[in-house]
Amino acid sequence: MSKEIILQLKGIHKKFSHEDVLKGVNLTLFEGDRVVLQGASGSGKSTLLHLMAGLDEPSTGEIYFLGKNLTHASDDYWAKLRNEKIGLIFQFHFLLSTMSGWNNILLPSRIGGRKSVKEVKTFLSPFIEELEMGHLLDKKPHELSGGQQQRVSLLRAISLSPKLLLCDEPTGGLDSLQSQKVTKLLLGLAEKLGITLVVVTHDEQVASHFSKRILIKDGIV
Amino acid sequence: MRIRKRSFSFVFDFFSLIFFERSLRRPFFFCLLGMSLAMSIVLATISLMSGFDKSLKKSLRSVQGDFYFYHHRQAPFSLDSFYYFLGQEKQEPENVAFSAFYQTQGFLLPSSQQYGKKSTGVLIHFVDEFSMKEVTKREEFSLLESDKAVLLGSELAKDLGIKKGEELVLLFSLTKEDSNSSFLFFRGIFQGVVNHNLFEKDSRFVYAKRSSLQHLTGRDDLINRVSFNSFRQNDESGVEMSSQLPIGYKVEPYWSDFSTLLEAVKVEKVTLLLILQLIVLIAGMGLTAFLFFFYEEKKEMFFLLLSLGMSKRRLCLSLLVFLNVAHLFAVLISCGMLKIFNEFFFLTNLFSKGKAIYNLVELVPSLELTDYLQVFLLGYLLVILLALWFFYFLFKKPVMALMRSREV
Repeated sequence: MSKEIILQLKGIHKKFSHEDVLKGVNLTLFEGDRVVLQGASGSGKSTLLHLMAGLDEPSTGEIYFLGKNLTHASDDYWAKLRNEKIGLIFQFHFLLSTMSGWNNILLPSRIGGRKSVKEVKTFLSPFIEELEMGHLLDKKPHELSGGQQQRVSLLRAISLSPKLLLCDEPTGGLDSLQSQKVTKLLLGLAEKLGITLVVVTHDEQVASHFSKRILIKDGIV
Repeated sequence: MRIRKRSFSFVFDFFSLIFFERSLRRPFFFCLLGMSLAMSIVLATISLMSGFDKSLKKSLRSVQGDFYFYHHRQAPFSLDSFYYFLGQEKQEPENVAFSAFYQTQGFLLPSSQQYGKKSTGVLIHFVDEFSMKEVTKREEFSLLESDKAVLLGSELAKDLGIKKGEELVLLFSLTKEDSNSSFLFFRGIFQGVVNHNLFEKDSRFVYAKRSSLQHLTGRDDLINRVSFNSFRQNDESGVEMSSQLPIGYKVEPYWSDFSTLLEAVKVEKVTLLLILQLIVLIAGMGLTAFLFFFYEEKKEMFFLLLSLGMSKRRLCLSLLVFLNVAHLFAVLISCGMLKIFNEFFFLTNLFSKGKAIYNLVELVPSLELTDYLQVFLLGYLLVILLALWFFYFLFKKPVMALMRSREV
């Protein structure tokens, strides 16, 4: 049985001022793929990830998500998609400092309103247990370590069980041991939930865990 | 509907963020204070203008009732002319509160007790104390017990330094239309003051009994004015009545002497309201500047909300609700500030100092609901327009542009 195409990029170009960052990228991601995007700093890998999430607009080219052409999709549509189908993890985990870990995790459900707090908590409880985070989620972000903060942002990203999880340097601020742990966690969760995973990294050690590697050099895949 | 309902849930987060973060708390507090101060200044100005209009009308109304009926040459007339007018208006004299009196200019001559004082020009009213009391609702007319009794305007009495029971001399003539016109002396006894709360009236008006004029002239029908209260609802102008009047007679509303001043105040009020909106505009700019500052300071939060699936439309809606609540706070604070201003005016008795110019001895600031609405809605409109400018700025950029300067 053939796998469903989750995301497809066709001839993507991206220009900043007069500089071509991406030069005709073609990429297809299938259901359950675990992909690492590698490249040197400034190669365009983060830009490509942002285009996949609809956080930026391509200069030219087409983006398809679950078979639908999103090149001219509205901001509202992309927002709904990010809330329901795409999970995002950044190097800077962007946890709101005035909120507890739990409230940070529940942000997507508060925004979307599709799932109740109870539903999200029930869904996440085995993962919270696995990540040994149960006793830490009532704390504010500044009371947590870097690794713990990244786990909170990981739980937030999967809280609405997305189809696609996009991670931009998720281990960027962590030491090598924590990096290993977070990478294994990501792969484990993606496996369990059947999520298509895309990780942007320049860390060879992180990349070594992935079977499918995509190298970006000077804006070309 | 659903999206609007959910927008409210993030407004609380914006406020808690401002409350907990020192870098945002102070700028927000001062922006709010600026907005409140601007609106309260406009309101205080408007309240003084409206207060002047109201206090003046209230004082004028209590001088001689709602309307006065007179011959355009100030000539004496028979009460039958007034009855004729009432008949035209299909009114019975018994059902209308009116008071006929004789009004003439004259001099108040200092008696031996007011040594060193000069004679003063006055406007003498020979009134029927009972009907005048009924029309004006002034208890002071009860003091006109004897034929010798004289009441003086409060400022006039103060200026003379006269005491109750002291003698007064009034020198006056009947109007030239009256065939028996000649100078008349009236020796009266000062019985008390009438406080009109109008400097012009308080410094010139003198009241005596109509019966004393009768004794002086030997005529019991001498009147040249009739004050009466309105017998129709919402009737302020008296213009309508003019068509029913006998030839040569006029009916004027109680405020007609001051109509030009009242009209000027009305025009000035609108002009000031518009000019002072500039202060609100400046304060509104402060609030918009805070919005930009908030956005710059909390770029990461906005980016996070957008990346987690909040649409720009909803983010703007949340910010709009946030601004509405902030404006509501500013409105409440400005009401408090207005109260403080009014207390200040009252305690310092600031406006009594210009009573010779402004006529009013006492000015009570007054505001109608429409005045509040005009100031608050205009302020609100300015804030919304400036906010829309910010939203346009937010909308035209892709989400990632919010973070690009931070090199994520």
